[in-house]
Amino acid sequence: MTADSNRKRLWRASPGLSLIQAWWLPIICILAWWFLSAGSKSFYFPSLETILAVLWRDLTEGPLLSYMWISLANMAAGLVISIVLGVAFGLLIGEFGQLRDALMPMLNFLRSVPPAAIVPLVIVALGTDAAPKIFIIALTCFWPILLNTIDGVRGMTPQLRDTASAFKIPYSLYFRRVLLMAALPQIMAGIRIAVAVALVLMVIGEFFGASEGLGFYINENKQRFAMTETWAGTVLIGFLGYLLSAIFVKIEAFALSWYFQSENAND
Amino acid sequence: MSKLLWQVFVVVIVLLGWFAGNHFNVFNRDVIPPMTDVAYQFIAAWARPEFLPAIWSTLSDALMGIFFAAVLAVPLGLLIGSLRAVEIATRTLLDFGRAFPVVALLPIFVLLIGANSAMKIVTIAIACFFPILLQTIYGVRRQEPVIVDTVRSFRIPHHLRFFRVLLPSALPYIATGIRIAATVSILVAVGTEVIMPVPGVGRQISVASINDEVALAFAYVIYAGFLGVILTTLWEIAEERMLPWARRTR
Repeated sequence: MTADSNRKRLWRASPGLSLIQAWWLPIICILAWWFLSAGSKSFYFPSLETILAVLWRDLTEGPLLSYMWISLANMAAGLVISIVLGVAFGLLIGEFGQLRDALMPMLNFLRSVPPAAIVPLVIVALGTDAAPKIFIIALTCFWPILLNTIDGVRGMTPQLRDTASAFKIPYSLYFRRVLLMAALPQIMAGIRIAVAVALVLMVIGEFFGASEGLGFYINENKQRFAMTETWAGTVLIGFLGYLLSAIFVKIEAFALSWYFQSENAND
Repeated sequence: MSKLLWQVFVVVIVLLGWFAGNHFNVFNRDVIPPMTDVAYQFIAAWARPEFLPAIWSTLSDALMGIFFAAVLAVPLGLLIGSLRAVEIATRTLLDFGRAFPVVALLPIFVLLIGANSAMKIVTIAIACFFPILLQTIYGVRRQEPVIVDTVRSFRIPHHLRFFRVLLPSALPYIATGIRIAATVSILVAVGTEVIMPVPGVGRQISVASINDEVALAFAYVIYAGFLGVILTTLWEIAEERMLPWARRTR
């Protein structure tokens, strides 16, 4: 075991080496895709070079960049709404045991409905502009954030609650500085799930009915059998998904730095 | 007992609110249909010839997708998890795969494979592949150092180590992965059916919505919710049977 941890320390010591260790395989995969597809005449599998060229063309000259912002803005709006509501209700429901006991079966039932199922209902009823898409994303992301917040509040050490009540800390301060902070690791875990789900629902919503956005771009080009454009949009979404989750990991590490520090101190 | 009373109270309040909302015309009937209409369609749906095939199509395709995902992901996860260099090398790829919204591939799959059950199963399998793979890797890596050292000092042969040590200790984590996959499979199955003309519950919701049969669409949405519950419950029973010795990890 000590040999193993020594080796680990060595690996950590050189950032260049660890970068190579983490990236050689992805780079080989991309290179393989590039060279294996080079000069491809296949209708279904255009070469990576043409895909990227089309992607660049539509980003710089076409509508793709504005579509991307529209999609991301819908996602961000939905996420913000779900975070505000999910955390607020989660803290309340988690704090009051009776409320939690009474609501849990209802919440579990509502949560079990696959969010994609309501997409046709919402879009047919409310139209194809931004509001229904934001609604769908917010509703879907609400559940993981709410349930994780409830779990986070429940997992709080009883001493914290006792101390807060012994010092008669006012409710508003108690909710903001004690409950919220104690539940934050769980809340962040909930938001991490929500970010991934939001992307999926954004795509489904825009495939089902839209006149703008990334999903619309992909779907419209599919209808026209423009395979290269379809691939380009899909590649862009994959890249965005990776970027969003990478950014979120950074935000999480920053927001929870105090938590990780105290975890390490306990070791 | 009072807990159950409160729970019933909440359900009654919600149903009353729904009823009153329609009765006093607060809700638009085309958006939220009357509760009684939905209740009627909920029962009447059974008489429709497309009802049972749709339910069965969604359920069986979800199961097939999970099956193929598990068959591929578990051995691969055991392999990646036990070789540290491979684990580090594949980490970025796995992060990418996990973050990728598989439904975005649907337009390509429809052109490649066509709008049919096979296409749906492929999509579900890819979506379920990553949670199972990641949990398997995690399970292998979470082995107790004492056990690893014991296996090494007794020079236990490779195949024994694999089947008698690695697999049993990773199984609870694999089970968690499959439980996550069960939820994902229904989400992706319904999502695929909603967008693409493939048979299933999602297709029925789409068709009913477009035909302005909102009450019927609501009934199908509730059935779609049940499908997720059924699949998760089935898996929990199977888990209890197969892994009685393993405490649930979540």
